[in-house]
Amino acid sequence: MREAEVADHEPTATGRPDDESLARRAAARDPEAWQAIFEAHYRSVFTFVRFRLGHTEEAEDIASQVFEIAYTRVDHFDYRGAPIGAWLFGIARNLVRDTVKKRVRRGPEEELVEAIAPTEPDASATIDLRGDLTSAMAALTEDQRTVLSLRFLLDKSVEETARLMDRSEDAVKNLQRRALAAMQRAMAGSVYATERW
Amino acid sequence: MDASDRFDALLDAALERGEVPAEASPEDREELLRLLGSSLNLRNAAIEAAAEATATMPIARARFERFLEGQRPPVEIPHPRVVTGLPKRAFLGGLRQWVFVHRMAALSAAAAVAVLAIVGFAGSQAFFTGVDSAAALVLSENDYVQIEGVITENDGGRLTLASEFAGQVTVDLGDTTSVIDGAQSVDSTALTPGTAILVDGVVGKGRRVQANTVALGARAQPLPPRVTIRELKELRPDLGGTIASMSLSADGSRARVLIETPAGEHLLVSVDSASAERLLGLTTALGAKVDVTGGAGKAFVVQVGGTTSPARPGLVCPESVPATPSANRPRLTGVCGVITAIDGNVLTVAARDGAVREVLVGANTRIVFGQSGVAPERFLQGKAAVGHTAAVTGQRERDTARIIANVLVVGPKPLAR
Repeated sequence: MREAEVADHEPTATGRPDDESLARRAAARDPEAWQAIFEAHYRSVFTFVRFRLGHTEEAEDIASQVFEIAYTRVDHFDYRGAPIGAWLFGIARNLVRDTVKKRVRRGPEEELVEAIAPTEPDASATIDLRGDLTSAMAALTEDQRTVLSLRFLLDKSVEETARLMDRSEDAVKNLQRRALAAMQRAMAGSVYATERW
Repeated sequence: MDASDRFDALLDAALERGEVPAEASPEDREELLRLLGSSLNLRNAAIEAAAEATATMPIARARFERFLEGQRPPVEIPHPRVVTGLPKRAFLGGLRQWVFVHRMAALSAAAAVAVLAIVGFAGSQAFFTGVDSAAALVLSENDYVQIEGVITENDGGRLTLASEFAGQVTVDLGDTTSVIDGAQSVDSTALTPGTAILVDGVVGKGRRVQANTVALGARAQPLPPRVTIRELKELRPDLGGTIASMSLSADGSRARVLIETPAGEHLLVSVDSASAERLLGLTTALGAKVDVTGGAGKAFVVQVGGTTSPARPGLVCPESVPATPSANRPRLTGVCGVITAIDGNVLTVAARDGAVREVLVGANTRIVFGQSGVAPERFLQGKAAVGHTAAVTGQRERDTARIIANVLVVGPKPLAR
């Protein structure tokens, strides 16, 4: 199975017209454009990162780096049809991946064990909002964590998620089903939430 | 549509509606309920994460603003570039502040060319600019200033000040304005007409100064006559005098001092950033005797009289407080020494004379990193500045001995003695 890839620089879907206008101004490194980009996307980027890392301050730092890197690399961004959000999420995903790798490299022994055995869950790449959720998320693949992040933490539609992950909508629906099922299995024994339904 | 696709469609509909579609079979319904339960847990987590995102946004926004400011290309002579924004929560508790970053190390060839261009352009002109333009520069909007004058009116929250350099100046007293008489805090009712005062604050529109501190001087003073000011454009030999006013621009791109020469001239001198740091290190620059020893255009080197040439650029705390021409001349509160500890937004600064002062970095503190070599981000995040020299001009916190910093200059670590 292909690992999830949030489109880094060349999403295939068409960006919105205002996105294109903003991108043009951003390319000229217009500070106001970049402030607008920050205002529009910080919360989403932070939430995306926060979902993957355990600490608020670390998530804030990584989310901030996303915008700084985007500004620095704007010359490499292809604006034609590429949503700015997708580009930012791509950068965020790469930073999270690097952060997790660094953490594992310098981390305690058990994390090193996880690094040696890549099929094992990556406990460091999960949110720490609730302990049980943390454990459940650790059981997911990178692919599954990404789709759940986009669909349920960032409240992206299937269409948007497909665009951001550079997948078809059917593939996203299939992936989200498997991800939710994996999470449900991991949380087996928990009794909350299902009562509502 | 195969079974997998059909179930995916049911799940999508269930997630959209928040309930299991009626067309789901009993088996599907059971599975859908489980998956919906998982999605609910995630949505609850999303609510928590969204709250964190909102809470952290001001800090991140300030950091990004600071980053954007740092990307501006240098356009003139070497001077501070500005970084504005919020510190990391761990260090400054979310207080808003202005961060000035001097980058003298980045003295570029382009900057040198700019200076030469200015000199060349001025070559055919006199040493000075016109009188009116120079006077207007004494109080430029958004500048941090130290200025003296005599009170002509006090209507409670606002003083009218007669300045020999700037004419009539309105000084606004805010809730945080500190009024001091020597080392003592006093009530603003002590600000009676005829009292000489020293004000530090920020210039607003209409040449109004929002006062940080008002330091009382001699009483029953005659109103000073208005004097003529010229802006120094070109260095001349043996130029020096006493500082009568100092200003630092809001974006950190320039600093100016007004000096009164022994011959009675009043010269507005733009100083280079290294000189500005040293003058700020005096806490109260006003009254200090200085020599203009180099530079041209908008980057003159100004050295405190009687001191030797610095062994390196950047802040160096003076051995002692320089003598002022008049014993009655008021002084601002401050300290110059070495940062020995950082706890939240409180710095501990040990002065050369052994005095140890706690300094609060507050919402309006302007920080000049100058030649410190300390990256603003590192400084704001932790203890990167411990061991570095720091000069603080500020005001006494009510009922404590702590200093609330109005201007904080962070310098390099002191040379071994």
